Amino acid sequence: MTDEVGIQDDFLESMLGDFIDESEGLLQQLNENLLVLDDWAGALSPGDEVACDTDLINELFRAAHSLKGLSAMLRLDNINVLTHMMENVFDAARNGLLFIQSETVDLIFRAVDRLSAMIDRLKDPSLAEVKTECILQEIRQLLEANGAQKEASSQADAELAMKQELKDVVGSAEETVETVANCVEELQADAEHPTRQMPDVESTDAAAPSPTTHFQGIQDESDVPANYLAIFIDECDQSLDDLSDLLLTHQSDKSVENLMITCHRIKGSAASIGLARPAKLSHLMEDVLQELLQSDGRLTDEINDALLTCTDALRKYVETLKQGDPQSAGFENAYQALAKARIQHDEDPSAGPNELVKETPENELPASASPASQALTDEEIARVAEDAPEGAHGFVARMTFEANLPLVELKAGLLIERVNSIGQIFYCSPAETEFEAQDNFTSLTLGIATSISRKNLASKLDLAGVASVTMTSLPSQTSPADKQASTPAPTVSADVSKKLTSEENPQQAAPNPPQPSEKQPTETSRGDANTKSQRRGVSKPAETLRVDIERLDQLMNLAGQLVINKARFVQISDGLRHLTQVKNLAQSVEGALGLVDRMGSDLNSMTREAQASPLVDNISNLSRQLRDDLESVQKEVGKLSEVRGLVGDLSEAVHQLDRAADGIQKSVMDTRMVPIGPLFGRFKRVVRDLTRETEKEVTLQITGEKTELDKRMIDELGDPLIHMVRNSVDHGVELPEDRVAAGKPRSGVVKLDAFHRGNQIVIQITDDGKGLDPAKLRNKAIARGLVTEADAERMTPQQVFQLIWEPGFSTAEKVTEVSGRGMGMDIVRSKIEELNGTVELDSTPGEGTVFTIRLPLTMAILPTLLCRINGDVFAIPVESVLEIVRVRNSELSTVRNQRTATVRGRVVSVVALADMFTWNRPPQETNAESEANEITLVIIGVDDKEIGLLVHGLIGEEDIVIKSMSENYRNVDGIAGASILGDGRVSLILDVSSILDMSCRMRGGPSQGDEVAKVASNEECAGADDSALKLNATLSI
Amino acid sequence: MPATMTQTPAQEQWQGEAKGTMQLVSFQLAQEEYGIEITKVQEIILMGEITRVPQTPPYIKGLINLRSTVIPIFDLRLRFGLAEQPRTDETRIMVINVAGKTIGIIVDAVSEVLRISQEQIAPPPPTVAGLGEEFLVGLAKLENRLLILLDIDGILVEKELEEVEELAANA
Repeated sequence: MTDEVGIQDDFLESMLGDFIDESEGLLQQLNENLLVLDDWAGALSPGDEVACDTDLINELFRAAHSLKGLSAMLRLDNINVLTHMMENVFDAARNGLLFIQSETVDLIFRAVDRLSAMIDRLKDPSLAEVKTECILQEIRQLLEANGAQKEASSQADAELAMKQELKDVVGSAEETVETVANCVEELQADAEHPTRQMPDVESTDAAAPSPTTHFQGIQDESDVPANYLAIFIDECDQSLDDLSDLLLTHQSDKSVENLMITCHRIKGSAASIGLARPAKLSHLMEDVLQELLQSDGRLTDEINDALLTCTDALRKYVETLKQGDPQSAGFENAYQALAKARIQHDEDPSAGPNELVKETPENELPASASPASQALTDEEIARVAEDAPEGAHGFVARMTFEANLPLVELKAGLLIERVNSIGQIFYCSPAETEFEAQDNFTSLTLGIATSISRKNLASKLDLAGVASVTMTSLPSQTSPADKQASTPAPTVSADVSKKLTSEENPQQAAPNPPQPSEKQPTETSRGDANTKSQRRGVSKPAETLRVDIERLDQLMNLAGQLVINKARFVQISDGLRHLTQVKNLAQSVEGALGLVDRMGSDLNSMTREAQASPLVDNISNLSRQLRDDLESVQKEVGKLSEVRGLVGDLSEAVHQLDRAADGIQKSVMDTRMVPIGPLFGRFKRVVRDLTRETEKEVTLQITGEKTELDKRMIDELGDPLIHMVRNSVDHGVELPEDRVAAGKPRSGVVKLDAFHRGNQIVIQITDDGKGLDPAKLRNKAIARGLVTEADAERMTPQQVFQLIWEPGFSTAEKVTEVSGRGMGMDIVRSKIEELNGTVELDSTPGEGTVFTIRLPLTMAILPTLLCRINGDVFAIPVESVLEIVRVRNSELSTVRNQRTATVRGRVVSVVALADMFTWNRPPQETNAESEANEITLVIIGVDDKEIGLLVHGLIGEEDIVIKSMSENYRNVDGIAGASILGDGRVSLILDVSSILDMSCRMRGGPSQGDEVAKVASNEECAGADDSALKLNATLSI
Repeated sequence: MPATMTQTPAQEQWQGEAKGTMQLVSFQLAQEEYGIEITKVQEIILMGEITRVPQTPPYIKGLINLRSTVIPIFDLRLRFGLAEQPRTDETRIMVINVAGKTIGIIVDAVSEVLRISQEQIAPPPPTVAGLGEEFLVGLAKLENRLLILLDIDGILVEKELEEVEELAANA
């Protein structure tokens, strides 16, 4: 049975995504609780049989149960079987049948591992198939062994019971087959014994009108974390939409199944966060649909309407939940409507298949060993009824067990659990806690408040090993006064005849409900008012929306383009502003006009004084024309100032665009941010496993879980972090004896911390172990040929530590299973660098080691310094830019042929990119901006290394969008990626750390800052000469 | 990028897809006419400004911005060991999809789209030695000329790996 087979249609496929999402949370929960359990078990001495924290076990049980339910829904049989087995173990543990010990926890841990492997495989079907047989076998043995402890003879039975239970669950459908089979049995039995029908009818009458019970005792947990609540609301909204859709177009047979699946989802998600009320309602919906599915698979109008009422009630609940003040007022009516519809459906003989089923009606079971104890007397019933909640509808049931039944208390426990799943137990004799103490445990009497019909209840109660079941309806009670006045309820034997109203309209058959149901809402709302006031302090949960990460990537991409375009706009508007700087023009034109006017008047006076000459006429004509021209120019100039006004508007608009673009970029980035907590949480388990393997004692301390990182970054960080944590535990922390000898506490501490620092996120992994031994590292590096002996001598301890990042360097004397496998530290570094981050290591011998990872806030957008080198534009990540200096040529000195500059007392080597990069063609434009006696250096550095990069022009700081080179080509040494500039051209992003490496390599061996000069050997002199020449050449152009 | 890519599967692919007819885009390169399967050709664009990239073999002209995607440009002449030709009015960049990547190749000119049937395709003669022989998967006989069918995946893969190794060795 392969897990993929089941997933055929789109619907299930879309659910698979939900399942994977949800299961990850559940697995995490399992792992975390197991860790707690493990601590607890670790404190036990072997052989101790102590029942452990029930709450914890219950939580574990719930997680396993949820997984089981979800996987059954998706027909993931392997997962289902495994989770079921796990659930059994927890169940046995909480029922005191099994005592948890370290081995048990280990076993479950392994099971959880298999489980997550299987879920991983769902995500990526190319992964190897996960074998579960062994682990299943082990769990089986564990359960059997513990069953045997209790009662030697019961092994076979335990197994049988387990199988039975397993069958129940593997397909939840099978259970319903049983249910239906039981229904059919009853129907047949009814046909044969018409008189027996009456109590049934009685019960159905009473079933509908039991308004005050169903939700009275059920309270939602009030301290649901807001984020879970948000997820629930989100999911529930969607599920409810689906439900309405399906209910309104319920023509196909398949829709019933889909409806059921949807109800199950609501139930599951509500129950998982402790919202018991919606869970109960949706549970009933699911039950009804399940029955329906097994009978004829068609929705009657009544059920359809009732389901719609339920859906509306749930929707209203969710709406109010969003306000932080859930109202479940509608539930009661909805519940009743559904119960009525269901009963009507049950009573409809045409509803179920009638044949094919063997006849074992409940009352004709083999005679019990002690018939006397079986019968329920009126007094007994009355006594039970007294305990019943006010107005409850339900039954008194007595189960008699087969004589000498092994593990009878387990059976009883199972019965109680089954009843709990369908209703409420208000009376239990003997009490649940006394089950084990019972010497002669032959029968169990339960008072059950439920709305399900008698035959369904009977089928629930009819387990293997139960010899007979007797059931009596409780008298229906609507008020305390009634309760006292009322006579004992009719019993099975009572002949409350003439109520053969199986076809009777339930609306008429149930005259009671309206009044109490009116009363009920007021009660609930009062209850809600209380919870409301309790919740005042609780913030309204944020609504969430699940989005495919691909879409977010795309959005991020678009935001990036927007940022690029924005930069372009800024450029254009700046250019325009410069062009329209023509303030004096208008004045000049004005002045010219004045001159022309004066000229005109002069000419006029000339013509008046002297005789008219053609020449003067001509001149005055010209002057008039000139005046006209000047006037039109003035108009144009006037327009120009309008243009200037518009340019001002434009730059205002661009400024706003700028802000909006920044806002969009920031919001998109925020959308992708998730807290690092869950990633850190994974290491609890890693550390625990490691301590087992290495026999060390290590405590993991986690801080800064709330620090948020880009989702993609979180995904990528897992592997490197695991490796570093492993390293800290395996190589860092000493064995307990050694620690004590060194005067430290036995238990070592590994700390994981994450925090913001400036524009970066810092993640630190700290251990308090023995630290790194520089001498050892040095020897090793020499032995591996990574450095020469002479170089190694000169290196500071800080520099020596960084050697562990070199490929092929491993500090462990022996390669252990833990740290020897997987990636080396060099891969860790390259992974971090792929994220545009850096990683450093610091260590104090005897005190411990610190790994520090620095990451940019986002992977996609990078603040850079744009500069021009030989006509090419390069982007240098701002993080790596230490400073920018202008140095006079005369201040440059040549130390052993390496050009260096003195910057504020430091000696910095001057490096020209052209010396390191090999170009396959000359630059497109030669660099014309060399000021003969000054050069610009951008001092770039990572860790403690720094160099002065010679640049020919600075363009400015800009946020750029990183485009991976390997996406369409491959990675190139010294280049971290490409980006698109505002003008549409492509520019390269310099990879600072690899450029530092290259410059070191160029000069041979590791060299740092002021040591640079000393390192140069004779061989490199030639090269250095060359570079100096080239440098001069570029400068003199 | 599968390193194990050989010519055999490529040839099979050609013959496999050639059942019936297939469409080719033909282009000129140093007086020869070549053909690439049309499904691999994304678009044909004019030469624009290309940003040069260091540490790459000579036939990598650099990177361009194709509607916000950065793609590398291969000079097919240099790739085939021919002399570089100055840009002309006819020079085009064919944007093609190879092995999940989008790249551009510079060709002298793009001629036409044509449809050929399987009968027209002949396997490459074993003795053929000439331009880009290692990328050759077959010859298509047209009415009065021959069309060289290219294994375009090979252009991206083989030699480049060697070169990467070479670079690494040098470093």
